[in-house]
Order: sequence, then structure tokens, then C-alpha cells
Amino acid sequence: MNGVRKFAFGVICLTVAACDFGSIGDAKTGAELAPSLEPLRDLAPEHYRRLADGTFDSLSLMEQRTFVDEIEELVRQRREARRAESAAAVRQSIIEFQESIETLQPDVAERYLAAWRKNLLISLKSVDVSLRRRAADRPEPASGPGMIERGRRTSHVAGAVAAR
Amino acid sequence: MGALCLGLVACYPPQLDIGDAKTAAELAPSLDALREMAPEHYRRLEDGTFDSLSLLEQWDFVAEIRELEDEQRAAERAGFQTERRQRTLEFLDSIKAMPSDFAEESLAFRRERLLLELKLESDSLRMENWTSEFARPPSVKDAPR
Repeated sequence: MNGVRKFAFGVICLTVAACDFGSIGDAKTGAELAPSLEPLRDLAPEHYRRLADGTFDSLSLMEQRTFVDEIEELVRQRREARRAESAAAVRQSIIEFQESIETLQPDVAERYLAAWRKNLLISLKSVDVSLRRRAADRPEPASGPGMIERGRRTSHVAGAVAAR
Repeated sequence: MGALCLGLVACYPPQLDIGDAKTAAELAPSLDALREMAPEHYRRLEDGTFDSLSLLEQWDFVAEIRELEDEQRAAERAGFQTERRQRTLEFLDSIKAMPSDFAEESLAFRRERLLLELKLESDSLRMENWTSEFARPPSVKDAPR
């Protein structure tokens, strides 16, 4: 199973490389970048229109900052909605399993139960890993000129990912 | 690109390895960050209370922990966004004193970073189409009865 996961992960990595994720290529404006932002078009059509027609490029830096913040918020809301849906589906599966457990052969029921419980332990571990990762990504508190500079140099993007 | 791939490798599930732990009580010693965020929940993991719960109760327990994590994340995000806007204002203030060509270049750099943020948001949406937040065991519908 681990081998299968590693293989799948390798495939994803290669696909990621092929799709050039995280790169804006030669785009210098929102209008030039827009064609590569297809997922945003589906999520936020009005924002996408303003990117594609050059409205975004004519905004001040602060207005652009607000625009990107709005997109970030919409992406976050989408992510939360999907997670809630997924969680509700899993919870329903657990209820169905519990309702049918007496009709299963005991050893089969035992195996399923063990698989579910292991899954929940992995979920706990995943929360812990996520907390550790965010703690590690957090900029160190500024305590002197050098530290302030270091804090400021922390990438907005890295911070945005960390804050997610 | 290389950095992104390295980042993905760093995120790869081996970090979710729970070792030989068969119960939450056994797993608890490796959950330091969780203990810090949710001491009461951690106590119930450590003392075996969690292991004595029904499957559905365990699921709800984990959901509560996830909610706490979400709250913490939201607070961090709000702080981060405020700080980021403040830094942008400071930058706009600071370029007034810069030679115009340098100011122009700095502004272009900032704008490019915003484009990169947009691209990353878009990419993260695409990635989410490939992954599922909660893996689950196979359905019991076809299990032998």
C-alpha cells in the first residue's frame, strides 16, 4: 500500500512539474496571467473578469492587495465548504457502518473497525503535524534591527500558505 | 519549481506515520503540538478515554479538535493579513523618498508578487481537486455477512 502511495505521489509530482505550478512564467500583468488562472474563473467569475480585462492592472497597489485578499478569502471559504462536505460524508459512513456492524461476520467487523480507528488516529496525527508545520513557518518575533529585517523578508506567499 | 517539489516532498504522508501505535493513548506522546493547543482533549487521549469511546464519538472528538485548529488558524490568518496590509502601507510610504526609477522597480516587484499570490491560490484550488481531505476505509456494503 505504501508503494502504491509513493507511486501515486511520484505521478502527482511529475504532473505538478509539468503544469508548472507556482510559476507565473513571463506574465507581467493580471491580464497576461489570467489564462492560467482557470480555477479562479470558476470560483470567482467577477474577479476573474476584472483580471482578464485589465481592471486589476489599473488598480493601485493597495487596491490590488485588497483584491488578492478577497480571492484568498473566497478560496478559503471554498476549501472549508469542501472539507465540511467531506466530513459529513465520512460521518454518515461511520453511522452506516455502526448500524450494519451486527450483520457482518465478526472478523470482518473487527477489521473494519480497526481500519476506522486507525484512520482516526492518523487524523489526530495530521492535526499535530499541521500545527507543528505552522509553528515552524511562523516568523520569529522581531527583537532587534536584524530580526525586524528578517521578519520583513519573510515571503508574503510563504506566510499566506502558513496562515492557511 | 524545485522549491515547490521539495515542499511537496516535505509534506508527503510519511510524516503522518503513526508507527506501531494501536491506540490514542499509545499515540499521545507524539502529539506535543496538539497537547499545547487542546490540553483537555489531549488529556482524554492520553488517559485512554478516547479509546473507550464509540467510533462515532471518536469521530466527533476528532472533529472538535479540527475545529479548534481552524479557530487557531483563523486567528493567525487575521493577524497575518493585518500585518501584511500594514507592510504594504509602509512600503508605499517609503517609496516616496526613493529615486523614481528605484521606486518604479520596487513597485513592479510588489505587483509581481501579488500576481504570484494569485497563481498560488489558483494552483491550490487545482490541487484540491486531486486530493480528498478525509481518507476512509472501504465501504461495508459489499462486506461478507
